[in-house]
Amino acid sequence: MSGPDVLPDDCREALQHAAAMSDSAVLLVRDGPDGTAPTVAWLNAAAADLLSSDASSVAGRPLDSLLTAADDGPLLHTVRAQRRSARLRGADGAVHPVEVVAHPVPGQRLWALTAVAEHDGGDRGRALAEAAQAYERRFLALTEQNPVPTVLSDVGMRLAHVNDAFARMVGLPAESLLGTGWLHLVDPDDLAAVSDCAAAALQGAESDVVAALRSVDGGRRLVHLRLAPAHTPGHGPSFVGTAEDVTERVAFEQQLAYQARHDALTGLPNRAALFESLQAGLAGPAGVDPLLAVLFLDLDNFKTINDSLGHDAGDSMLVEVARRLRGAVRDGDVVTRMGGDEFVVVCHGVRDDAEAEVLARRLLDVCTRPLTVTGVLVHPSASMGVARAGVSHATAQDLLRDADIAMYDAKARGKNRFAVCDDETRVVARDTLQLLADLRAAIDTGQVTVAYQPVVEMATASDPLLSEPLPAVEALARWRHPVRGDVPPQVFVALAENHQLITGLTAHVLDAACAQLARWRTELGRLAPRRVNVNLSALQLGDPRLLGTVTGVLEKHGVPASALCLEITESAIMGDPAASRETLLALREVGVSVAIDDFGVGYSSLAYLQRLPVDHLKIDRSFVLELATGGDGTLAAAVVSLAGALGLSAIAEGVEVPEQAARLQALGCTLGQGWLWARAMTGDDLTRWVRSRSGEARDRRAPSPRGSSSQARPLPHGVPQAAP
Amino acid sequence: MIVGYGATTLTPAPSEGAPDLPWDDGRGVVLLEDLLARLDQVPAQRPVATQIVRMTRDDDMSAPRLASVVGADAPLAARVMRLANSAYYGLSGRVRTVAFAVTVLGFTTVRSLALTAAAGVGGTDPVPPGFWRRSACTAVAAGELARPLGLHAPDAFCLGLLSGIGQALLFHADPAGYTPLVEGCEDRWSLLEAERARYGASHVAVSSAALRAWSFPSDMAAALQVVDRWPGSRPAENGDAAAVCLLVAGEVADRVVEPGSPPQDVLHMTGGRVQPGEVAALVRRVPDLAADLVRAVTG
Repeated sequence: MSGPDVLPDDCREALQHAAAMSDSAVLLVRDGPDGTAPTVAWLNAAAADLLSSDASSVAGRPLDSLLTAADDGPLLHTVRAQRRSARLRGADGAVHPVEVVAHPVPGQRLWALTAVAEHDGGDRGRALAEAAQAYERRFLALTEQNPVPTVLSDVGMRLAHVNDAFARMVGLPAESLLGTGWLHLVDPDDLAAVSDCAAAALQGAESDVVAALRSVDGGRRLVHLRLAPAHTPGHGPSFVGTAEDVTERVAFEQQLAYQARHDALTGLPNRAALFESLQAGLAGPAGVDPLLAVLFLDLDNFKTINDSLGHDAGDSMLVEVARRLRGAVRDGDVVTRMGGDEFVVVCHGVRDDAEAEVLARRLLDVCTRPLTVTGVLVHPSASMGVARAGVSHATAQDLLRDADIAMYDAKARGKNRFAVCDDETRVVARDTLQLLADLRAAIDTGQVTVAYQPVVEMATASDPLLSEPLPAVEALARWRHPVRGDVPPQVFVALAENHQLITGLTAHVLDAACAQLARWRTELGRLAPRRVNVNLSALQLGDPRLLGTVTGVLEKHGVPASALCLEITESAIMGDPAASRETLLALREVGVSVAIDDFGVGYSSLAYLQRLPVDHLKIDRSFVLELATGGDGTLAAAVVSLAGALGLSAIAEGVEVPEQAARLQALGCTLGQGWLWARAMTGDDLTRWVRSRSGEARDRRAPSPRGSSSQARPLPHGVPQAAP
Repeated sequence: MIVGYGATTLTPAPSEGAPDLPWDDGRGVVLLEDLLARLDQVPAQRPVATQIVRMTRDDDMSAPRLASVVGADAPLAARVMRLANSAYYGLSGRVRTVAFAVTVLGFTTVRSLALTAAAGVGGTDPVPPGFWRRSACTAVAAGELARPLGLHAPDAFCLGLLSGIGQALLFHADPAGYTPLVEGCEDRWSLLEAERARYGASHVAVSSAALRAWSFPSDMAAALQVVDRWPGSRPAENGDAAAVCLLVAGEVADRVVEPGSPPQDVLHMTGGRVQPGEVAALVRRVPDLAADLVRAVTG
C-alpha cells in the first residue's frame, strides 16, 4: 500500500470520500518534515465537528496541539496499531475525552487516526457491555429454575452454563458439565450427530438432533437437543439450547412403531413389515435378488378349530405354529403373519426349486406335528405355496401373489401339501385373476345382463285357445365378455362365488329382474308373467343382509313379494339346513316364494324337506332327459309324487320335445320350462314373445276359414318373436 | 528495579559480571521497547500474522474476512484449523474450513495464535524448554476457572496462552543465555526472580508489555501485571478476577509440569475465591487437554 502522497489522485479522493462518509472522526497524520512533530494532513467532517473547526484551518497543524494521549507509550507506532484514551482540544477551548486508534500505514510515516468520543465509544461500550451482562444474568436467572434442561455454549462445543434441570437430568453437578464435560455423557454413537448439530448452530443455523445422554446412575435418557445460534458481541458465535427429555415419548413411539409392524398375537412381523422386507429384496441396489423365495402357508380347516374349540383355542394354535415356524427357519429368514391363519416365510439364499422344496417340506413337517389345544389333541395340516423371485416380480405383491397362487393350487390338490409356482400355474391363475377383475367391472358397469326363460303351464301351452299369462319366468345372468365373447354362467357364477362377488351379482340380477317385471306389468297388463324366479347362491343363505336386499328391491320397483320366487339348489340348502330354514322362513314371511332347484340330485333329507318353507320343486333336467331317451321316468314320477304329497308344485326343467311334455303332464306335472317353448331371451324379446303368443291365441279364437289346429306349435328357440 | 511502560526502561539489577546482553545500550539500561521491537521485525517474515495482530478488536470483524486473512498464512491457518479441531473445543474433525475454525475459536484466540506466530513461536520455531506444555496447561486451566470467577472462558484461555509470550521474546533476544537460566531454576517463581535479575523484568512483565503494545484488551495486560507483582501485592479483594484466574492457572500448570515443586497456598493466593479441591481436580483434568492443545499448536 502506498501513502496518499503517492496514491493516484482518484484513489486518494475515493479514500478521502470514504473517510468523509464515516460517522467517526478520522484524521490522517504524517511525520513532520525533518523529524518535527507529526502534523494533521487531512481530516473528515466528523473530526472537524469534534474540533469545532474548519477542516482547512486544522490541516497542517501539529497533532500534539490538538490531541493529548494517555501516557502509555507512543501513539504513533510504525508497525502496530495503538489504542489510547485521549483528549481532543477544540477551537472553542472545549476538551473532549475520546478513545483514539492510530493505524500505521506500513512502510510510510503516515497514520490514520479514528477518534470516538468516550461517551459514544468507551462509555457506550461499557454501558453496552454492562447491559449485555445484565441481560445474561437475567437470562441465566430465567433458565436456572426453568424445568426445561437448558444449555448455553461458550465457544465451540464448550458449555458456559447449564441449568438445574439439565444437571438433574444427568445426575451431575452443573460445574462438572461446563466446558466439554457434558460431551462425556453423550452416547458415543450420537456424538457425531451432536457435534454436527452444534457446528450448524455455530454457523448460524437453528438445528436439532435426538441423542442419548448417559446419566450418572447408568441410565440412558433420550433428549431432543434444539440449538439456536447466539452471538455475544466481541466474543463471537455461540448457541443456546434446550434438551427435552423424550425418553418416554420415544419409547412409546417405538412401541407404537413396533406394534404397527408386528402381530400382537404371535409377535411375528406383520403384513406391513413383510412388504417392506420383500420390497428390499426385490428393489435392492442390485435389482431383484434371485435367491429370494417366499413360502405362503395357510392352515387347513382352521375355521373348524375356531368353531369347534373356540377362538382361544384357535389363537393358541396360531401361536404354536408361529413358534414352530420361527424355530425351523434359518438365520436371516423372516417368518411373518399375514393375518388369520396365513403365514409367510421370506427366505434368502434359496438357489433353486429343489432347495425351496426342502424348505417347504421342513416347514410343513413342523406345522403338522400334533398339538394339544385346550386339552384336545389336534392334527394340524397346512397348504403351502412357494414362489422364487424372478424378473417378473417387480413388487412384493407380485411375488406374494405367485406364492398365493401356488398355495391355492396346493389346496386344490387336496390340502396338506405344498406346490411351487411354475409358469403354467401362473398363467392359468393370472388368466383367472384377469377374468375376475373383468367380472368385477362387468357387474359394476352393468355388462352382466339378465335373460328370461318362460315357465309355462304345459296344458295351456299346448292349447293356445287356453293361453293365460305366464306363471313365471326364470331370470338368468348372462355375460358377454368384450374379448372372450359369451362366458358360460357356470364359469362366472363359480368365479363370483369363490371371490366374494356373488352378493353383488345376485343383487344386480334381482334388481334387473324386478325392474323388468315392473315394466312387463305396465306394458303387458294381465299378460305380464305372474312371477319372476331369481337364483340364490348357497353362500347367501347365511347372509343376514339378504332379506333387506330383497325387500328393498321389491319396494324400489313396486313389485309385490308374491311376484318373486327365489331358487336355491338342493345342495345349498342341505349344506346348512338350519340356517337355510331361518332364511327361507324370513323370506316366506314377507311373501316371497321359494323353489328348490335341481331337485333330486342332492340327497335331501326328506325330514328336512318337510320342515322347509318351500313352494316349488324343480325337477332336475337329468330326470326330464330320461323321459325322452326311453327311460321309465321313475325318478321324475317320484319327484312329482313327492311334490304332490307335500303340497308343492313341481316344475320340470329342460323340456325339449313334446314327448317329454306329454309324459310329464301324464305324471301330473303342470309347469315346465325348456327349449320346447322358448330359450332364455331379453326382456324386450319376451314382451314381443308374449304379445305374439297372445295374438296367435286371439287369431285362433276368431273364426278361420281354414279352421284351427289343436296341435301345439313350438316357437323357434330363442329367436325373438316379431311383435304383433 | 524500575519497570515502566511507554518510554519504558528496565534497569537490570546490579550483578557481578553483568551479561553482555545483545540489546544492552551500553549505558546499563535496557529499553523494553527494543525488546518489543523484535516483534516489529517479524512483518517481513510473518506479514499475515502481523496483520492479524494489528487488527484491533472489532465486534464487526466477520469470520469470513478474518479467515481470508488467516488463509494467506498456511502454517497459521493450519494451526487455527488444528486448534479448532482439538478436543478442547469438542468438535474434533468437524471443522473443515478456516472460516468455521475462526468462528469456533473466536477472534481473540485467533489473534493470540497470530501473536505467538509473530513472536517467533510457530510450529517449528525453537522455544524455551517446556514452553508449550506450560502455556497450554495455563490456558486450559484458565479457561476452566473462568466461569466460576465470572470471566469469559475464551478470554481467560487466551490470557493463559499468552501469559508466557514474554518467555519467547526473552529467549529469542538471548538464545544463549535464556535456556541455561530456565534450566538453572527450580520453579517458576525462582525463574521470574532470575529473569528480573538478568533482564530487569520477568517474562510475565514482558508478556504484559507485549499485550499492551499490540492493543490486546487492557485488562489482560493488567492481570499480568498483578501476577508479576505477586506475592508482593495480592489481587484486589473483590476485583482482579482475571489476575486470580491467571495465578491459579499458573499454579495448576506448575503442579502438572513440575510435580515436585512446592505447592502454593491457593486459598491465600485467591483470598478464598478458589478452593484447593478445585485446583486438585484441574490438575487431574488439564494434562490430557493440554497435550492435545500442544499437538494442535505445534503441529
